[in-house]
Amino acid sequence: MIDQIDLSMVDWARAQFALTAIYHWLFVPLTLGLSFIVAIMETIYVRTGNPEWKKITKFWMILFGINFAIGIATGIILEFQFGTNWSNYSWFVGDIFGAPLAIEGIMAFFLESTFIAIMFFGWNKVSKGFHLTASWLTAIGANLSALWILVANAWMQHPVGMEFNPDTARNEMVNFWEILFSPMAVTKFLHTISSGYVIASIFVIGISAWFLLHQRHVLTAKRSILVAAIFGIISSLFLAFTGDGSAFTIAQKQPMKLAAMEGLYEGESGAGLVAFGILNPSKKPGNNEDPFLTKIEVPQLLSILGYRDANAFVPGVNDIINGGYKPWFENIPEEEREMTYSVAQKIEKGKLAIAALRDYKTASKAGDTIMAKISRNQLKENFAYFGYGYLNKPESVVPNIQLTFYSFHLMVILGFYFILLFIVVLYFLNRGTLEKQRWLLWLSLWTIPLVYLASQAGWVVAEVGRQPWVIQDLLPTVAAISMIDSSSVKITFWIFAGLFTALLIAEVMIMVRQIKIGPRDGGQK
Amino acid sequence: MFETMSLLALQHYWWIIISMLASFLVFLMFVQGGQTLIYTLGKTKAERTIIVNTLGRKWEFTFTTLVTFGGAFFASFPLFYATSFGGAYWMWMVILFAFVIQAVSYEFRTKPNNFLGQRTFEIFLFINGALGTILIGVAVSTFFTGSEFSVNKLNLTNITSPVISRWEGPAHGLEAVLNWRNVDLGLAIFFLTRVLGI
Repeated sequence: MIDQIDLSMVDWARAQFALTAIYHWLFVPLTLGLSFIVAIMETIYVRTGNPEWKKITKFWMILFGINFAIGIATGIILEFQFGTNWSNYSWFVGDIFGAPLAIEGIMAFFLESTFIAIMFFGWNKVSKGFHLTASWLTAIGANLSALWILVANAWMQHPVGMEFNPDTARNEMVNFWEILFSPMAVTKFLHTISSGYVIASIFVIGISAWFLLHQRHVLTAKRSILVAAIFGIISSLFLAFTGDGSAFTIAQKQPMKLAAMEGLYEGESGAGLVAFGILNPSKKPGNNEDPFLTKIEVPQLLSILGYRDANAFVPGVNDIINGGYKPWFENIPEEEREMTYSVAQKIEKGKLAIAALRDYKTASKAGDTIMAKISRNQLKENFAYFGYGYLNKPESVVPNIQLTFYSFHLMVILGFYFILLFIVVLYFLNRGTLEKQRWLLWLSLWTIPLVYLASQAGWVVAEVGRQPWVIQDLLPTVAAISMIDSSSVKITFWIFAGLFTALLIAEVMIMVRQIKIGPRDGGQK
Repeated sequence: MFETMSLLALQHYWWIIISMLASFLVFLMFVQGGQTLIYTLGKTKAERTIIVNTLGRKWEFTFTTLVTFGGAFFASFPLFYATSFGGAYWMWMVILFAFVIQAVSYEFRTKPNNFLGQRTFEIFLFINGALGTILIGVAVSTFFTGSEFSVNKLNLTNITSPVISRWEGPAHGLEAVLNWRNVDLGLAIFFLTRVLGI
């Protein structure tokens, strides 16, 4: 029986979660966006009665269906992994994290899977209007599923609306609405689903471009591009807007993540945004090396994005470790802001909180009400730093800066490129010369892998950037796991890796074949 | 009305939901039962396709019920969720595998160019039908026959080893299949679903 936490177990459990999440996110975002695009196409069909639009709708619906199944398969593994690999976490926050997950299952998932059956099998069995409603409800259901799980994720990044109960030793929900409408949850949901819309738009444009390049299904392709490009330009502008909102919330709630995203070690007032940079690999927190080998910076932009103030102070990695600065918060005037603690002090407070919990438990068991009351107050006072108590050195709060920095910049640069692509596609479509722009069609096709890359990079920023926390400031990864040996997790990791890869290959092969078959009047199914 | 209730009272409500979900699940597992009959009843390719297509319109219901079942346990009985899934690790993992391969099989089986071949996906469905039902039965049976584990919430205050629930069986859940009572319920569920499947 192992008694100490096995650190390699933590790494393997993280790797397994990352693997499953990455595969899950290859399939889900397309589902989120494509369901809406299909519903829009079907609406046009019902409005115009033109069978060409029915053909278009059915073609994209087949691709949607192929994709949907693997999204579910990887999703169920994610859900149960909380229990299998992260049992302490499940216990600690089951009350809060489990609730959205259960709602997701009960409400959205049922909605989705009921209507999806009508969508696929009901073409000649139900009326046009009813079928259209089913298509829209599938889209809404898919997006509602995403809402709940993203609310849960946002809560981990910025825990609100709960209280720690020392009697049960777990966090309990006190305000559901606060959790649902926390600024982190709102921006995360909007940013993530709009990224799914952009993925689906580029997917549709790219594949239609391939048809145009091969002079096949020209009308279908052009109409699909029209719908997708309009949907895409709106979504991508919204994506940029919500991305800005995300940066604003992260700056306040997760300053360390922001510092890692920008490779900012020494904080400054009126900090600039690095537009392009190469990090110095030998830079470590605390040493005197220059963090960048080379960089191009836009002056003051980081302060504006993070705090809506060109001269605001943006703390760097070293400032956060050493403490002693006044952090900027929305709606709190400067004189009321308090100096931050250093991480070393926070670790002290975390250890106090953990010790107080132990004392409280012992005292209540012994019936010592006075002692219990004292330790309970001490726990309450220091609970905000509870998770720090599990850390052994201040540097543990620094995430992988290289990975976070490059992922963030890749995502942003690609994001602006997508907006440009939509504009150019719409311009040539409007002039009626899109088919002649072969370079643009090839570019659209090869943008499909890029849009997936950008989206994955976004999740890397969100999840790697918040390490070592499972729940910001309250629970680090080392304290969240299950008591199983790392070899079990290692074995399941490789089984999952093999299985998912096989399924991915199968899916891509099936999709490519379906695309080559192309839209038909009867459809494949 | 729910805000003012205690956790214990809420858990009663949750228990009703979970019981309902569980009974739905047993009914809906006719899908799994049907899958195990794919070679018994489906002698020809066309017959097998008919079986799969018939079940194919219902499999999402079974699947989502299972997902919801998990989510409901997570929300309402987190201690059970944490202890059982983290403890009886291999048992749940095998069940999960059995369901993951099901999810894609319906969609992929008849599609051209599907990489693994139609037969592989049929075997996936069979494995899901057999292993999934038996093991779910075994897992449910352990609630009655018992398992060896320990829970100590004070572990949370032990900085080097904060995990509160530990499984005492080294096989992490697989030991349950050695108990004939557990296997009994597993087989009962298995045959029940086959009967429902017919």
